[in-house]
Amino acid sequence: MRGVLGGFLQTLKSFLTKPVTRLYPYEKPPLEARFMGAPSLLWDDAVDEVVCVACNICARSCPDDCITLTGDKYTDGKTNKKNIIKDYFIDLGRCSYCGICVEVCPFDANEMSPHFELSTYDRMTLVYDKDQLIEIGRGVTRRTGKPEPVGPLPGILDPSTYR
Amino acid sequence: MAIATSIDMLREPVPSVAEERNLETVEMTINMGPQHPSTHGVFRMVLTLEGERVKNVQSHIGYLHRGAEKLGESGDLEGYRKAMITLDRTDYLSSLLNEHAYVMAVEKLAGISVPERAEYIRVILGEITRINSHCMFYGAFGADAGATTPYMYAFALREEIQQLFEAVGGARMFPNYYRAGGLREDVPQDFVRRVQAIVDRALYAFDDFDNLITANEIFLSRTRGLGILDQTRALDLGVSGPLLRATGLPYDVRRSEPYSIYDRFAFDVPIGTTGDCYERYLIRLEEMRQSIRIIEQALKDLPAGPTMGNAPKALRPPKGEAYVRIENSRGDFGVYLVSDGKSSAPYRVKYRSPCFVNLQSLNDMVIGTYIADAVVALGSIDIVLGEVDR
Repeated sequence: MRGVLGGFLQTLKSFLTKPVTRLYPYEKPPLEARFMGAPSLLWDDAVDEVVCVACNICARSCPDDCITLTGDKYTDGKTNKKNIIKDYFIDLGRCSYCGICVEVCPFDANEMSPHFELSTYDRMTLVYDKDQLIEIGRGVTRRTGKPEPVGPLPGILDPSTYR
Repeated sequence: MAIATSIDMLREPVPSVAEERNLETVEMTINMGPQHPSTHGVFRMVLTLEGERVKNVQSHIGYLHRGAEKLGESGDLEGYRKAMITLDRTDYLSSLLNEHAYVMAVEKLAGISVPERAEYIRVILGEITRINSHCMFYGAFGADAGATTPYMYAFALREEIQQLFEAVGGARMFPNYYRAGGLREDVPQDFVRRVQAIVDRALYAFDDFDNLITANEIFLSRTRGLGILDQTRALDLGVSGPLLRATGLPYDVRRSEPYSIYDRFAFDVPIGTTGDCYERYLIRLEEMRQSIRIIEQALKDLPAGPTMGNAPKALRPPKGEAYVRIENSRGDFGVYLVSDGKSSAPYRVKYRSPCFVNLQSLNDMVIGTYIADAVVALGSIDIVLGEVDR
């Protein structure tokens, strides 16, 4: 009987402390600086075009084969790249968000964006094309090597919430 | 049934309903799973019942087979990295521990050395993963025994641990963070502070776990003396992990065959005596506390320095083979890799998964018990079907 009462006391103790649940769609969780959402294409503001040179390394390194891209001859002459992407598709329904495409990219042309809410009624809308990938990558910069900001402890780790 | 009209009639033995109507107990075969909440995934048990008693059990696995080993052998670029993506998703609860085994196998194959700092961070994150996985066991085992509250306590702690994984590796469940030769990148600046906060919080949480059900009489009567596996039988079956330690054998790969830097830390290997479900539960709770001890020691000694060794950018290990085993949160996990010396993907990948082997002990535990206890016995094995089926 004492064991059962101990359990009741424990639930009573938790009842009197601050709840740790969040109402997710209304209350967004804080995302960490390294959070890996959908992969995105980076935009080079200096020359106003994509950084990608269509070298196909990301597509070949992808464990899920979810990247498809085609290149075009580059003729603008603003940078010294030889090719530029014509089409770039990522099937986010297959993507496993592992970040290998970002890791292997020799031109720093992509980055994992914080975009993760992909719920949809149509599976085909999960195949993102070039414009959508640039759109979700807007404002995203290459993070590798940069130190993360130090903030307050998240969630229930603050001792005042459980002691 | 005749109505007693005199006191003598009451003294006569009264025939039961079954005897009077010439009834007999027939065996009944029922399917449990594959879609059943207490089978921990897609696992099907065909139970032959005699009344409430389980007479025979036939397990069917393979519903979650995704060919993780075969997928690990594919790919023309970065094959050694690709294998880890599928490995993470086999045992989705101890992903970083399994990554550790895999990168150690690649390092052994290619002769890559690992910097000290990377080894310490691997140990810290590995032990946190063990706590994370045992939290899941705690919640699920409570639910199997009829209490849903443990889930809430376990997941409050799991949430914080996964937040740490997100801060370190970018993903909550499958960080894909270890690389042959070290780590993908160094940990965030406030890593030590955050791990310390989790350690402090976890010690409080473990006391809460204990208060909630460890001494609960209902829980005790559901788990004590159930699913007993004796030591010789466990060794015959090749069972490892908490199941084996509950039978009284202090066998832990971290202790008996220290890998990485586990020989530098002081920790106890909890063992049981009878090998029943309750002892498996107690051993897992104690293991979480021992993990905390290891984390505290590792945090104290955590050296500065690089986190990536001399690994070549394009990995092409020489021809050969390597087998590495670690103590997973479920038992003895092994990775076997064969390189043909030419391609950038392994020629053969084989995982020795503890869940698959531990599941063999189900028949020994379940036959003769009530059907409701079969659920508890299955829960005490703590299987992850992704790893059983691979």
